[in-house]
Amino acid sequence: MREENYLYFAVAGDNDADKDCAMFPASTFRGAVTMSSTTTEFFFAPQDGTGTTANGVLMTHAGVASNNTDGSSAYGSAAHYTVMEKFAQLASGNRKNTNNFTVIKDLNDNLPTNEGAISATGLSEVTALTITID
Amino acid sequence: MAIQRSVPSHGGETFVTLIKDNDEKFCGPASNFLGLKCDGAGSMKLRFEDIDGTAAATVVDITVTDTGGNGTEMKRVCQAIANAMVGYGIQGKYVKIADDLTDEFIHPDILSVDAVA
Repeated sequence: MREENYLYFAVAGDNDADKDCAMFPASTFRGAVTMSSTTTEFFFAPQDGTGTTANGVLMTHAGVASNNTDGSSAYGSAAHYTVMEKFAQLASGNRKNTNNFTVIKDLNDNLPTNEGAISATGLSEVTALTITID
Repeated sequence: MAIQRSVPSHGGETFVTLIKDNDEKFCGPASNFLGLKCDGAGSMKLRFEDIDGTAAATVVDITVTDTGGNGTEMKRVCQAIANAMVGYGIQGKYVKIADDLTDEFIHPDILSVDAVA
């Protein structure tokens, strides 16, 4: 059986309100869509099991024109592509010798330091998150 | 002629269990895990595909430690659950995530199972 990878997201808060954090199996990822020049939404199969309205994580990042420093994207300077590319790398189940708990983005500013995945904050390009789970 | 090896429906699958009491228990394949979310301070909801085959989810509510009020323990529990779902690389794993009846939990920050519905 292929090993599952679990993707963790948390908004800027203290995990003390509904949907402050969420974790999805990478296999439930359905796709990502650019929503504006500064936002990209990542969709997952709904946690309510109905298979109808997808759950989403809306990520805010730099605008298309302003991100010209990151050369990791094959598509140039668009932050959309950089975020999508890095998400794909993290979500991949083919990474060896890594934990299967992957922090895509955690904006909680009270995390302990130097504790591995617990201290990880994820994609540096992402500045805000909105988690939608019906 | 080669003999076809019989393959169980969930061969090599990890099964996870959460138990509230004698009347509310869940056991299912980890591949049926739909995800989890924070439901408030120290409160989490885990969802699995419904065992009766309908388009709904089995929802398990658990309580976790929130000592510092910053949600770190919730993240630790998420990591522990993710690790448990994978099992240990051998077939036929049965992992008990939380059992309120016997006070057995895979992580010390899991305090209780509050509902299985």
